[in-house]
Amino acid sequence: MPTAPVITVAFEDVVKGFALDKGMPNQRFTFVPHPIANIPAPTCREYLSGNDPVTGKPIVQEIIGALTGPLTEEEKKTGFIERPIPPRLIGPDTEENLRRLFYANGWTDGLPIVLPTEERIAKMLKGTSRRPDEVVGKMQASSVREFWSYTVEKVAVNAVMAGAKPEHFPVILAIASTGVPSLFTSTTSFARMVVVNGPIRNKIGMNAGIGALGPFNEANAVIGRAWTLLSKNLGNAGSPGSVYMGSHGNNLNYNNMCFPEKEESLPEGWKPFHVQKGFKPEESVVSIFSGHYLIYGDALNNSRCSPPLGQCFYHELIRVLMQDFRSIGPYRTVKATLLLDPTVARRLKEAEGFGTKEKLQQWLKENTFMPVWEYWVSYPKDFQAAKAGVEPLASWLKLPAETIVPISRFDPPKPVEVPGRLLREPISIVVVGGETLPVWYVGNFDYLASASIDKWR
Amino acid sequence: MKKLVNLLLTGVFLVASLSVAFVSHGQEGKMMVLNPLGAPPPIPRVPMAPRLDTLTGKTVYIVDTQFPGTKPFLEEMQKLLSEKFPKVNWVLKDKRGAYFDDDPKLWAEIKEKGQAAIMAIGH
Amino acid sequence: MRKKILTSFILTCLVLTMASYANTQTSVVGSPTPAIGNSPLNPAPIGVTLADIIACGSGYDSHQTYDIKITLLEIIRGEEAWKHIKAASLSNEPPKVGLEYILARIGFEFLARGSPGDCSYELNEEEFTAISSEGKEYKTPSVVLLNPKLRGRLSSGDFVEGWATFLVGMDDNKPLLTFGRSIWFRLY
Repeated sequence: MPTAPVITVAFEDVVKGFALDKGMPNQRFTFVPHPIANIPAPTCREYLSGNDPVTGKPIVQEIIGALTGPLTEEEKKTGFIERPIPPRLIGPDTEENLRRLFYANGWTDGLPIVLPTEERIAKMLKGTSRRPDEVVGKMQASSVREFWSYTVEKVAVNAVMAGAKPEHFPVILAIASTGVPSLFTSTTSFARMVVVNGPIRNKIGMNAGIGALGPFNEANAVIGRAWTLLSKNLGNAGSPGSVYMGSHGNNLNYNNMCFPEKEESLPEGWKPFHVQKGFKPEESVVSIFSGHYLIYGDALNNSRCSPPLGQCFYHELIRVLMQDFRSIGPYRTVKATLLLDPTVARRLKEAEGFGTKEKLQQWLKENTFMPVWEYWVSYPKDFQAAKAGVEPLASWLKLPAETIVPISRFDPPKPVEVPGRLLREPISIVVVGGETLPVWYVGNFDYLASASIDKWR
Repeated sequence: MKKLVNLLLTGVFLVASLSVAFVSHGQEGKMMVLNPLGAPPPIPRVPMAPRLDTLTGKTVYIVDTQFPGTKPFLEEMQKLLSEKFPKVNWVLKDKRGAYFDDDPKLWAEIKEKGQAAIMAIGH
Repeated sequence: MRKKILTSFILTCLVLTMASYANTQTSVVGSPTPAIGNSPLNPAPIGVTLADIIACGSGYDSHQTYDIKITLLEIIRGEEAWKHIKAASLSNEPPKVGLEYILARIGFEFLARGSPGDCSYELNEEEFTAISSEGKEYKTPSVVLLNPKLRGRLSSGDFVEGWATFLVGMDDNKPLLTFGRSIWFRLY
């Protein structure tokens, strides 16, 4: 079927690369000015009546031309497009030149790297019993991009570059085995989070205490960093403008918020995160989350806890924060991850009656509501019904957009299903921190996957 | 003769030693490293579908890929094309779900009732 | 005298060898042979089980990766294949001139790589494609399929065995079977 794709010009490189990935390097694109979302109709017409910003040809003429006119010999070609396999070794050259080369090729995160000599790779490979040529996994920058597969050796190269040590390597391999890239192709600049559970946390000296999410610990830093490097180099996820399109980028991608859960400080009855996901306590596991940002909260500096309002409850403060943050996602199903300092976890258990993480999750689902605008966006048919006068929806039309209506954000009455997947627990809770202040973070992070680290030792 | 031979041998040896020194000096501080890059897979080509000789009398679907806020643009596209090419049937249809979701039912409908398609648009 | 010349010659050779060795080899450009079944250049024969990784899920929710194992168990071609297809349904049409049917019996296993492993995969025999020896994709024939079908919604741990049907050129002796362009079998 002859098809004319029409794209905004900001994505010229992306779509041409994508078309090549799919075996259609000669796709007849028509480009229009960017952006076109939410612009008034007269402006839309003006754009459509104008010229393709890339070719200079009239847009309408290009669309018609894309559908008609004979194919060229190039467009009729079959077979395969071979791409050169990169050489295994690079050099010999000086350290300075090699560093410059790595940076110029986009193989780094901009920070200095440890050059991956054969000697360093050999040392790194001692951190696992797996063969260097064993395939660890496959990664794609998003579900529509091509898959690249990678071996243990290739992951070792990127681990060395990140400054990791052999004892960190099984964790990095476990992350790589999930196939989730740390850099996601979206224009909204996704972040990732890595949580490590199990005995390996202490064995390799990870920090779950003061500054756990900050730049204070080697293992926390390099493991997360290795994930970004291997996502760029082995998952083809990091070329800005052609694969990576995050408009701002996300600072969290430098080390993907890699930290261990402070299992030793969990109140009794509160299970470690990996145990909640079906692993045994003695297993070492890495869990991956995806979102954009964290919002900070505490009880000390919270005006809701000040006189004359009197005592406040932590679970209420957390709930209010979860009602406020904006979720991003076409399905409009909201997800959240809470990072609770152990002081907060203890208080929630001992003084506020949440004997388990699951009880808190359930309470939050039942009591965290959504603003009415979010309801209309999530349920457009109800919006039509409201306009047709069906109550109580019709009354809601008169409410200001930010008015909270009694519909759960996290457990809505008509959940939107993702085909082929079970509905998942939308709220994740991880305990971490140095207990210097009752603080928490609430992030729009969605739990994606967990992988055994022990398999990669 | 003996002296000449000695001189010759010494000369050759000197030249060789200098080469080593020169080359070693050149290799000083140089290293080999492993390439961090993965290997892209070969891409099977998908040949383009044959194009139409004319759109007159044909049905062309304009598929709205459902990126938020872009409906007005597609509606204007349909209007403009209908004005300019009134003998073509321009059908604007929403694709199911979000912009990255597949919609086999719509593709089947287009195959059955249409002869060409426009896919648009993001952002 | 001779000894001197010989000694000097050996020394010189040694030194020159060191020099050339110090001038270490340049980057090794290697195009390693693809592992069996990973490329159309090295397709796997019948009976070999190939492993691969696929995604389940889409979009912002991100996909999980799952292990799959595929085995090409049996091939039936030509008249024999047509007999089976005709028996499957009277509405099945014979192949057009120049083409003939190939039936491939395939085993497919689907396994989660980690947790949560809750994605189910909708397997359809149309995900398998026949490619000509020149790299051109054959169109999937529209036929009533043989039982057992290579179809189903698979959860982690499920295994399905079924038939896929292809139409290939009669003169094409070495067509290939591919799944997702990452797994390749000889369809001969």
